[in-house]
Amino acid sequence: MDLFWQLVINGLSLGSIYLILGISWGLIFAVTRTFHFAHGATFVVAAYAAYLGQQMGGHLILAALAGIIGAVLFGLAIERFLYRYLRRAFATPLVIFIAALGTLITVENFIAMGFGTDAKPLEGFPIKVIKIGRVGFNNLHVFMFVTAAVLLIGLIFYLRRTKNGKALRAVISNPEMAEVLGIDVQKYFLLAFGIGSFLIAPAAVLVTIERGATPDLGHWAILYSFMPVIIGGIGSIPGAALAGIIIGLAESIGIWKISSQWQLGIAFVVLVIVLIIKPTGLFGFRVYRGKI
Amino acid sequence: MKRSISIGSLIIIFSLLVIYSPSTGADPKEYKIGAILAMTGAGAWYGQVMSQGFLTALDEINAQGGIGGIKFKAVIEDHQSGSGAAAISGFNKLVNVDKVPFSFTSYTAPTLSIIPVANEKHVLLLNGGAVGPKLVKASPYLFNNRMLAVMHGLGLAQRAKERGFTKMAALFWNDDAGIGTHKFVEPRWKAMGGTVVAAEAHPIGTTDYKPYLSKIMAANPDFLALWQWGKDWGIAVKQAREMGFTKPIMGIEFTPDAAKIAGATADGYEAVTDYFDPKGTDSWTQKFVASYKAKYKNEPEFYAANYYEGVYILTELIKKAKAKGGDYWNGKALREALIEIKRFPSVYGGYVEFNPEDGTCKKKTALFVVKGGERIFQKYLEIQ
Amino acid sequence: MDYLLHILIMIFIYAILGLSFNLILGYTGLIAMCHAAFFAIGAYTSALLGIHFGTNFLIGILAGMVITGMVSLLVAIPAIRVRDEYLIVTTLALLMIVYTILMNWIDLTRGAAGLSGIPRPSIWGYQISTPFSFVPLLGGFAILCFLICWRIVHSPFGRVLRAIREDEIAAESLGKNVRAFKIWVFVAGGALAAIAGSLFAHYMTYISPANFTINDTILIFAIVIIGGVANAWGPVLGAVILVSVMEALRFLEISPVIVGFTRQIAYGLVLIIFMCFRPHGFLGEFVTAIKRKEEKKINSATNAEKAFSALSQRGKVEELFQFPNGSAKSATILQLAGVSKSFGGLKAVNQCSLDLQTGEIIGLIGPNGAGKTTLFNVITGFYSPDEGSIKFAGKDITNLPAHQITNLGIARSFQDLRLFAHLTVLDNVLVARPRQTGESLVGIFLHFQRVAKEEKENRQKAMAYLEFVGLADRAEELAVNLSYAEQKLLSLARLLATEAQLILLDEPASGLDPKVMEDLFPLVKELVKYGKTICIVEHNMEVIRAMVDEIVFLNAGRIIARGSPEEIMKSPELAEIYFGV
Repeated sequence: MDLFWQLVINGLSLGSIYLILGISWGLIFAVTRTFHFAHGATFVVAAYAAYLGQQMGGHLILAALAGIIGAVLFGLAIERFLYRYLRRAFATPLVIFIAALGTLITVENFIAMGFGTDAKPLEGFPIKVIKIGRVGFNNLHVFMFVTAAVLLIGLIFYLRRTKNGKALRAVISNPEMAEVLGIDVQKYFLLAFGIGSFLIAPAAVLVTIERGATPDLGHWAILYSFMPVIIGGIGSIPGAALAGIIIGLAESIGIWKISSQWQLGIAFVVLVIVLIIKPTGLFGFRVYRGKI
Repeated sequence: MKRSISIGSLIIIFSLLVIYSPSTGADPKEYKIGAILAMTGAGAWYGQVMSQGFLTALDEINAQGGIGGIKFKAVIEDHQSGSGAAAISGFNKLVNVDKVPFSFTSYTAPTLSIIPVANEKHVLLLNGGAVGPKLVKASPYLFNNRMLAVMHGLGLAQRAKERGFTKMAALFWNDDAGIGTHKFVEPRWKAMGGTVVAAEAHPIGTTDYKPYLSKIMAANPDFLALWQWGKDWGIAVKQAREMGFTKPIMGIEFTPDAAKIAGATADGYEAVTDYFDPKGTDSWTQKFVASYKAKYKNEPEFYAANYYEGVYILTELIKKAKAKGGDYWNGKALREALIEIKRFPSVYGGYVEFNPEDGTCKKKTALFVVKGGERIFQKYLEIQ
Repeated sequence: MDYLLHILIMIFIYAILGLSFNLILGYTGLIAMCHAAFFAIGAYTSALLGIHFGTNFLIGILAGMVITGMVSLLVAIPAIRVRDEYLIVTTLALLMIVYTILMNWIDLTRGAAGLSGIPRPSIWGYQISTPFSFVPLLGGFAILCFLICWRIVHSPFGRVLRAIREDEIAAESLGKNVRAFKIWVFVAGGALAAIAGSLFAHYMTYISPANFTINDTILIFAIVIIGGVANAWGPVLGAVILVSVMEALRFLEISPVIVGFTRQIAYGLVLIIFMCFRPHGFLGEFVTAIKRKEEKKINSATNAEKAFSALSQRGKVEELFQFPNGSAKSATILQLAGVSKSFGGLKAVNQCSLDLQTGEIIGLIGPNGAGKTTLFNVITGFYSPDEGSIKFAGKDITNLPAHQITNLGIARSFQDLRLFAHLTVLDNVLVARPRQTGESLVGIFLHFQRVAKEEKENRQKAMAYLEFVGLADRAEELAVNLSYAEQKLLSLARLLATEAQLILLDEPASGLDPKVMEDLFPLVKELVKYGKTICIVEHNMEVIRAMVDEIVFLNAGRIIARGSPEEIMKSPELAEIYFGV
């Protein structure tokens, strides 16, 4: 049973990261309907910006800040210069997807060329092991969970209570109507990208602290960014958050009785099952395009 | 008098002609060699240090004018961290366009995929990094100047016995090398009176060990054995300690990069590996370290060392084959030379000895302990 | 020399992959990320059979195709229920699942170690082992796959694929079983990819999961995208470009560390640049010379005139407007009984009962949001009613899928037209033609003559329909290039081509100027002569008065009145509801 609880703790810390990835991507997607595959590139930019920050003599906090700034600038740039251009040229979703994919490949390899592919650590977090009975984890894992909760609550509060947040929700609901009502949709697209990129940076920093940053984390990050959103349902931020935690738990507990090497496939199996049973995701309220 | 002068001049002229005669065709313009390494992808670090290793040697030799006035040139191809297709494409170019008779190789899978071509076209392959059991006897043209993992694994088991452990937990690469090592060690460990309480295979290069460590911790072993290479062991050690795993950890790999990642958590980690110690006292070791550091700033580890020494092995082969006369710059001749010589000086100190039957080698193996981020040599191991 | 031959062989393999993927992506518009999985399954099946049983590689290829076909069927079933982003994600998940299985089912696949010792192919005892002998073998298969794809693409089946890509709903509304088509194209694409996989395995003699990752799917993507989407030669060109460029980069004299990453960066940049400036790739859909030749072959307007007048001279105008089953005209063509449909809490259609007689023209009017279009959607099967029943010519169609209902004889137009924008005017109409043998894979490969004959007849009929609405001279124009009025006419022609007996028109007059309407609506009235029944949703009262026999008034989901135009329009209560006056 100890093993079970150990796996639950693992799952919660893993799920926390997935939660952050999910809500950051989910916001961007719900507002702009862009399949922002380059969100993975934002993740690696954040991780390596933080690493760079530390290399230049910064304290961990400053490094984290560097990561956030790097991520936001990058996310905004991609929207402003790539996606907006493509949208104006009436690009189909496929075209935008390929362009984002190309961006991800380019960025990851630039970073690999510049930094090498070995894992770059982020020092300075005072790790304290916590043991409850035979279950072992550390304060970093707790911190991950807390960060995820704070970011989620913060985002929900922002969307519900602030003027800009409400405008974003309007755009999520009905972009055409929002435009008619005088909302500058392009500006809010930028805002969504900015917030989404801002949100993913802490996840990048935490993962780097735990495991070190490698360029191919971008692929991993984007995968686990859209999976919670698709499973949770497009348009539902709490849904994506919950789905993130569920995926984390499923992946960890899923290997309780089966060989651990199958872990990678679990999340995908969950995804396929959910889509077969409920194609709009668990909590989604947006019907996918094709409504008559 | 006139006669001796004319005979003398004839002899002189004849000697000069022999010495400075234009290439008979047996001597190539330059010694072009190939290398199939992981230059991109997750394993790009390996490709980097391996190439740095042999490039150091090439530069040293070329700086002295090459061998018999002929310089080396290396052509490096990328197998993208394990893609068989990329390896075959790259090797095809090396063999058919660059016409190399000798190539370095790395990684088990790409090596296996280029073997058919190597056999066909008689290209000598030297592997200094891969450890998979499948490489044993894989081809008459494949030689490995790195000890096989299974031998290190056995050494680790013996050391564990020495320390009085009985319950082993193993964490290893989910591939031929990792699984093969575990399969080799497990029955022998049991024969020594030990048990295996957990055996977790993980994808190469994974960075999240929590699932595997969870199961290992739950099994309550006496120690943890790592059948891992590269930087993986560093991350595994770090995460194990950060999850509160306090039992001893031992492995069959040590790289300074990984030690940096593990930081303080690596203290007490014991490794059974090829005995390459950059701080060693052997004169050749020191020369190599100095040479490498001058170019690349970091200290070399044994991957670089293996490929460095590989070039020097090749020079021995060239000299031997050339002395036999005829067309010597080809895989067949070089291979024959290798089989004849068998034993070469190793940059580790001592010798590396090849077994012509199966392409494996014997080198010094040692036990190291990590203290304060540094690797401290403990003793040599004799592996039974 | 051997190296060049090796490159040629890789080009052949990747060309097959590109061609097969183009069917799914380029022609049907399905962004399926799992193509590398089909490649892998074909390779592993053939490899395992060869290693363990020593089977001849041709059997291996066949077995690979069968197994991959089955897997692609399994993949298709969840995949086709979802669209766009969901499809990307689902297929990506399936790719990762296949990859995980390949890596971890070690007993079967040897995991990361891969399968080595795959036997080289042998044909009638002759072993193929040198690159030189591989070239004709692989070239042969590449040409075979090219021809198969060519046939598929230039057949009625291929036409429906493109229609699905343009507008799935419209395709469904014209009687095409969109789901079935998607499944077929997945299976066909997967099976062809399996051929490439088997050939790859027997050529390399060693395969491992590392050859079949998401990066390989991306490479296949790039081949199709860069070479030219929805163009038969596109993937071939793409394969040539990508394989040769990748190889050419080996010859650059730069530090190998830099070269490797530079190659990948160049790759990423190429994708971005192409998407920004030339998203259709080098050869777009409409660029090849061969296509242009086809255009010239098509009948011009004069030929169409001849076809139409020829038909009428033979007294066979009714043929244009015949009943699908040839069944006699029944009196009551449509019966709605107590039909309701809710969305969430809103009852959009509330207990509607309605009978339509053959030969009637009914106008369906009501304020915005009354449920008129919803009612259409329910009748035509795009929505299932929550209660009530619908009978067409005595047959219960309440829960049938849309395409079946169309095939039985009900067709509708859309408020937003939903034309197949990048298909020609003629193709738009041809898609609507029912019962085409050429719309099945079996048909186009086993019944060449029948398909050719039907196609010829359908072309004549299609031109006749175009002539009927006055668009015959625009037959080769892309639908997207037509004026709005012309597009409306095309929509009507397309509708008529289905040979439907009951025609539902959703706001046909909106956006048209009076002159055009004067020309158009006599045409519509004429249809009644041929036994059609028409139901029109309209807001334009002039049109209603001029065209319809009876008006049905819908408000808040209920039918609140039915009568002649004079009766309805005299009623003050209805005027209040409608105009708020």
